[in-house]
Amino acid sequence: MNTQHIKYRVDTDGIAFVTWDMQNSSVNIMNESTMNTFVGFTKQAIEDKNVKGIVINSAKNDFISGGDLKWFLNYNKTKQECFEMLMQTHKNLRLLETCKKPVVAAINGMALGGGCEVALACHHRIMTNHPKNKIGLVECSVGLFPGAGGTQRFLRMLGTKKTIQFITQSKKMSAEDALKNGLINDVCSPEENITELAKQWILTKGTYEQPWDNKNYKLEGTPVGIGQISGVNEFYSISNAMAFKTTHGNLPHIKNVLSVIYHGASCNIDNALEIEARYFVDTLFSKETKNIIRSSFIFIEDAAKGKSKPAGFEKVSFKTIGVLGAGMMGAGIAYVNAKSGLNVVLKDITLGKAEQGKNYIKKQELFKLKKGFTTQEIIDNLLDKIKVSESAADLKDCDLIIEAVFENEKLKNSVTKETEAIISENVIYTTNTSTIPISTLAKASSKPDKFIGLHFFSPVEKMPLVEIIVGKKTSNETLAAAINYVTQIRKIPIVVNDGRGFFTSRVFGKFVNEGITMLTEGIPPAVIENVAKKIGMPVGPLAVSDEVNLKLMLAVMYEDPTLTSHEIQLKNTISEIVKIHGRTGKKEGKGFYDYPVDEKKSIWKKWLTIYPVQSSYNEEKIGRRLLFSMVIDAYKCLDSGVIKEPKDADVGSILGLGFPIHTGGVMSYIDYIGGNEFVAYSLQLEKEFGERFKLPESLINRVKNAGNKRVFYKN
Amino acid sequence: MLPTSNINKHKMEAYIYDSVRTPRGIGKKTGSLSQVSPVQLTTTLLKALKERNNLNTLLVEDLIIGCVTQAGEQGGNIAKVAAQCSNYGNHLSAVTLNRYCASGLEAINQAAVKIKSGWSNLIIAGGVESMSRVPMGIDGSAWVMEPDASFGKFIPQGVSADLIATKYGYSRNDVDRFGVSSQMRASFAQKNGYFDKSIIAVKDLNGFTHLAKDESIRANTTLETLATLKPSFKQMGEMLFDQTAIDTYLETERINHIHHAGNSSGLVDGAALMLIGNKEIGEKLGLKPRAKIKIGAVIGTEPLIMLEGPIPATQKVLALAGMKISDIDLFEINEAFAVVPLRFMDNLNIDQSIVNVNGGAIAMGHPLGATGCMILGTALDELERQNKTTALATLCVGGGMGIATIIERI
Repeated sequence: MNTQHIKYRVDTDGIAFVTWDMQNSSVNIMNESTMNTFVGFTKQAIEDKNVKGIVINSAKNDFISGGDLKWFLNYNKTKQECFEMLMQTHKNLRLLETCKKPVVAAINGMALGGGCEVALACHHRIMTNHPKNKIGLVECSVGLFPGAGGTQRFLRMLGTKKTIQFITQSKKMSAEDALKNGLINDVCSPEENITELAKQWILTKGTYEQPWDNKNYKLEGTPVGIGQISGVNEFYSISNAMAFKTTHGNLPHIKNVLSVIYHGASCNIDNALEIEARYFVDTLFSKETKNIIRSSFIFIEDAAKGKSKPAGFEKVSFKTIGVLGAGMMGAGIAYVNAKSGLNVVLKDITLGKAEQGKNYIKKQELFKLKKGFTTQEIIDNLLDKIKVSESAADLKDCDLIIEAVFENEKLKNSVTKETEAIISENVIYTTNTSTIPISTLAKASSKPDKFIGLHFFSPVEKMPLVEIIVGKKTSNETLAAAINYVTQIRKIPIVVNDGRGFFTSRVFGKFVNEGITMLTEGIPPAVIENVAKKIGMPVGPLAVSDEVNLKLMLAVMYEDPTLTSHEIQLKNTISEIVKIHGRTGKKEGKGFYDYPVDEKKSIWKKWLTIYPVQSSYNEEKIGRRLLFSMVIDAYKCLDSGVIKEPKDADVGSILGLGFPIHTGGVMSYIDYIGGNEFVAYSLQLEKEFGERFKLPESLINRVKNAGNKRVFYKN
Repeated sequence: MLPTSNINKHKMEAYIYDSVRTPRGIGKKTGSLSQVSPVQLTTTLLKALKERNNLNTLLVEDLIIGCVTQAGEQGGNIAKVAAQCSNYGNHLSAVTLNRYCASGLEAINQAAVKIKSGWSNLIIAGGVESMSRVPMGIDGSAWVMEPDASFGKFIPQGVSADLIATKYGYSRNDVDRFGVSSQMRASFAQKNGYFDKSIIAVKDLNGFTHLAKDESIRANTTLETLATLKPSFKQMGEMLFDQTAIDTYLETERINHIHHAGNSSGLVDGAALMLIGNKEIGEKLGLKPRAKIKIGAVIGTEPLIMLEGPIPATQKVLALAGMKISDIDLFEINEAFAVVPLRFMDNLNIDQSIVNVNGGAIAMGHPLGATGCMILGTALDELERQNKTTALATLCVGGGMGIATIIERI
């Protein structure tokens, strides 16, 4: 018997096969409808007297890839209904594991999240040991935690320590690791028939008691009883402190999953599952979790698939990329291209310089080799893809050019001309710049329609975002191809229209400006830095400024004719800081911080006398000034068309600025605070600190029109 | 806000008739008292009180014992077990209490309150802790384990001490100097027999001595020897707990970890008891009161920085007593970490010449549940030796509390 998503058959040996095979999808996804069908068939198998045992397997390449996050985001029922739904799932899986017939999961591929949870409710798990196959509870990475009993079954199989570690860090295991850790019972090779092995296990062994249903079962490391003897007291204390250190308490799902594990450990399985459901409801209904699902998962996933590509253009793929300039950025760009299987011509003015760039890549790879993350063969293949050159003539076969020379307009222009003379008509020419307008650089090009900006972030091999900057004359065809290219190298594109600082650099500048402004007002520098981190920014504005360097910031400000009065004042202040106090940044070892050799950096003591400290400060206001300054500017980008859609701003801010994920990004932040509250607080900040906190009329209207609903996005 | 004093409205007084303690043994498996159970430590003192005072034990009504780690052989109301093993008689009731490091003084205060209110006539109170046999923390605690109680709300006391030092700018040299002075004072006092009046040697069943003197004093400690010690809480702080402190104490760029084994209280084994009663019972037993317990106070403080409690507790107890700092002849403040007494003296403007004159827990150790009673006893002995009148004993307490008690010689 078959339905849309799951097939069911009983063979002549009395083995029932419940086979996941979701229609119109390459993977099996758990949602209300698939789960209902699944449960229906398992019940049928349990009740059928001819069935001796049950095999749960998949007709796809993967087992079950997890839950449907869009469904979670748009969940619109009550908390009570949500709780009852979760408890129903618990009941159904408990029924399966106590049915007195052996149940086997034949894990032929990925078993993540909900997929892993279903497998854990079986009596026996066999997994194919293909190197790409992974099993794990990865829900925490999307703002949730396992809600189908995973926390409690994993806990009872692997103990408290591993459970906290694996679940909070969303760690996946290979089949071999899973076997070693006791999460699965057997592995087989991809060539073996896993379904047949599952059946044979039922026919030859076929036990059907879960360890936790045995009355002698004892969970190691329960919080009840003598603490230090089992190390439980310390272990929970360390887990709590570690989780707090990394989240600053901003992510409710992390604290909730720690609670689920802590409280569940002292209970029997049924009460423990109820605890999981209670905390899951609280988590699913939290603003933070919805923000993470929406922005950090759905939006970023869409962007990664290139969904912002203009309609009507065929997919283009690229084979050979020419990278001009083998400095830090150029080398990084060459690296990610080669890693994605593209050939690279890495050109610099001398062969020696180009070699230097390639050596940077080699060094990184050898480090990975030392740690056991790669093999010499992979490295050799990778390096073979990168051809170093000092001659523009070598670029003639490239089908895309990335220019990554110094941020100097004249230099960039001459490189453009030199290269265009070699490459063929239809080759796209991209420039990696973070400041110079693309339309200005395009003037040097003979084919401005093929000219486009690609703003990579440093270090390229680690930072996933690429800003694609569309110049005035850039064609839609070029944009479409650029988006294809960025997704081909597995980076995440956002499309930005030309403008000073584009999107990310411009918006991030406001954060740094606000931090420096607060220092000059007499807010203690440590407070500014600590509050920034506490609200979820990865680094404080003063530390960032030191990385960027005040001299560079000044240079950019001097060239900007659009500075506001506050920015002009700030420019003068920064100029004083550089000239009078000689503080510039990390490079010189003297910025907002001191950089002693062999010691950690520390805030320069003299700030406290240069800008005498205020007797009191308002923590909330400091945090909000830092975030509002970015949010308001990001909205102005949207308003003026630098950014097309709010979600591009959210994705760009999370991946490019490190904007706190629990807020959902710069645009989602407005709804996180609440539209009306955002408007009211901005007004207060505007009164106190001036026009930089003045909201555009259109935003005030949007908030007004939204009424009690969200300003951006339905959910 | 400080309370108003009602002290003159109470007629009944609580008197200390005797005060005894064991020597403090190093709280490790190699320590001299690690062969002795906490019950045996307590009964040693009960026996001594009986013998020293020729005590009619049938008149002792209750035994109140402070003990922090109430697990294993310190679990299940150790006071009652000690009472049963004491041969005082079946009438003797007993209770064990836990106010963390203040437990020993809390026991005294509760006994005094019972006497002053007329609920009881004669009580033995004090504390015990065998840290070598029942390690700190093995009783577990929701405070450190349960996410709601712990997440962003718990840091170990050593990190709190370093936080205080960072906040108020105490240097490694400041705390080390205090550590050296504690050792010098304790060693001088020990040599000159200042502790002898109260110390009861701990002996085995044959009468062979386990330990007769405080074991952990290091007379040869210098600033130079202390300078070689590594900070104890740096690694765990930087890896785990500092961020929790910094997110509340935002002006802290980085916590300066300066406390180590040489400027913090040592882990030791020990017990202390006092015989407390009203005037009539003393007359009946033919005992001379040594001092009256004037009044005590406890107060809660911010739980992360945790160890600043002695300051508001002292202010509160002085207000309750209608007294000023200058009315106190001698102070005993528990040297949990050197920064605690340093901050206490600086904040209340008290001269070190009248604080912990015979050293403290840095030199002699801090048997958690017993210390409160021990330092009050030390204060009493010293008042008598110097022929002075009034002393105040105070301790910082885990979780953010402070306790203080004032005694006055008759």
